[in-house]
Amino acid sequence: MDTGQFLNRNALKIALVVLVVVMIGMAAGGAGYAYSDSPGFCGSCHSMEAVHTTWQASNHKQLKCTDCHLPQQNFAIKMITKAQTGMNDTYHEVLRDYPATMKLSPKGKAIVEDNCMRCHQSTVQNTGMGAGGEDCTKCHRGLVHGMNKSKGGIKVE
Amino acid sequence: MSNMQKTLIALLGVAVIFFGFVAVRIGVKPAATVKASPIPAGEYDAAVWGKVYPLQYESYRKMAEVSPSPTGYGGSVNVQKSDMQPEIFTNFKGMPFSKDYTEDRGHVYAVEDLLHSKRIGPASKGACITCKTPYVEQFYKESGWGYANKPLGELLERSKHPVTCAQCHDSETMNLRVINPAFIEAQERRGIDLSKATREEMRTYVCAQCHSEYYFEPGTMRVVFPWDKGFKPEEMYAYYAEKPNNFLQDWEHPDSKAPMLKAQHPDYETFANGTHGKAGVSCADCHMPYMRKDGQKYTSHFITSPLKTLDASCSPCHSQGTEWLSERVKTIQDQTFLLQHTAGLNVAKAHEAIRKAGDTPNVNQAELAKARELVRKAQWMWDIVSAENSMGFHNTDQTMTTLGQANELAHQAIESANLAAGINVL
Repeated sequence: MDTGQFLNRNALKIALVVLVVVMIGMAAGGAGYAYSDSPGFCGSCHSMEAVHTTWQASNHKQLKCTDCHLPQQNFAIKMITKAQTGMNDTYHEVLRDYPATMKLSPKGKAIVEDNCMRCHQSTVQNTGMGAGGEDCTKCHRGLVHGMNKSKGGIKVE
Repeated sequence: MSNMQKTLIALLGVAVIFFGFVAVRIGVKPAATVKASPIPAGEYDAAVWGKVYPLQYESYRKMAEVSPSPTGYGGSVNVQKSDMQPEIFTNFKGMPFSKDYTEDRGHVYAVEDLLHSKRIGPASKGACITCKTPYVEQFYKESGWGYANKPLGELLERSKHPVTCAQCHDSETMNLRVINPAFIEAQERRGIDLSKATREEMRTYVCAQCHSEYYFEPGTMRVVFPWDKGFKPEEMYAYYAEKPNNFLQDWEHPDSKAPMLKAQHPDYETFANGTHGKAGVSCADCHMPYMRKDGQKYTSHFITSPLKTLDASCSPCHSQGTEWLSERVKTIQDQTFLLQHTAGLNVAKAHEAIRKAGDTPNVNQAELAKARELVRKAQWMWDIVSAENSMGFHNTDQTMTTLGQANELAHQAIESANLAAGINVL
């Protein structure tokens, strides 16, 4: 029995198997995406402990990390940025070379600023901030993650 | 097995090992605690402690590397302060600070630098050892304040280690503690119960036990902090004016014959009333910031100018970036130095004016006494800033006001000398 015959005889079965595999793949992909988009996933890294804790106590706790820290124009841009920043984060998490004071990169800051405006455009539309491109965190810098990033340190037990 | 299969298995193996490593590395967190290890009380060798607390010890050892301050003021190279402020020769004439007055090299050199200081001689007393080594704990336990009047050489011989862990830590619990009896007594007189101090307060007190103004009680050489009326320069001056414990002066100036005071590193008093101090920031917040190594956050024990650890020290609260921050500090220090140097020169001029007035026949003695009191106060106001280690940063507004007073008082002293002599003496 050559391949052609095999395919002919089992067309229905093969179609079913492919369908199941694709469905499982999509479900796994969707679940993986949902999990990797959740604050629990971000907070599972040691370097993110302090920012995760402060976010939980903030008045933006109803939002996910990615709502502010990833671009939201469209899904493709979001996914590309997610892959880029995710690899960078994983690299430094594995090397454990992250500093005690972590700051937003200029690129990361621009993403956050855009996302402030996504929700607060109407609030500021009659002010100089309304045009966008302004630095919201110049004043609101302690809003979500507090002012003091120095929480923690090795404890003697 | 075909080559294709072998390659696939090899690739799969590599992938499993690689992603397994990544997963384990992220999944297993760096240790957040360290077991307190029983270090016997009285162990003053930092290297012994360092075996249990290697991160802290490694940063402590960094104090052995000396370097100038990025802004040019202070730093840990033992240059003579008179290089930048030649008025030191005139203002401290007749006392040891005119011979040898260097920048401090940091805690690990405390004993060595005391040993080599030209201010120390065979007549020096044990009181000088108080802040140089944790052995002072033993000396005080053995003979109370009696150690202060013993020959310094005898105590130096027994002081095998400089300022080390035990100066600030309980060896069993690692809790913060203070051992300088002068600090404990001064706080008691202020009504502060150190046993109730919070950890955050202790993060300042461990430094304040030594980085403070003091004098030696005449006769006993007991170390006393002049804090009974407050921390401000005029409050400490008023305290000294009442001749506490029969303490009249540190020395008599040979030119002006004024009874002088020598101010000593009033870092704590200055900081406590400054912006950061009033906001509840502790010394350790800036001078011992959190550092990270292999993901572990630890308290830096490289105790030095925060300008050398600017990002770790300032960025937790200030988000403007290191360049902006260092420019702000430089501005404060440049302006403070300008006014401090001017005040120092004016005080030197006042000593000269009073000397000349004193040599004038038929000088008005009452007016001359007034001039001497004015120059004593003027120099105190200059010295309380000059002897402080932050070049204005710890409390900028108070520092500028104090220097303004120093300048004004120096001018008044010169006017008074002229009046006493009946001529323009300078």
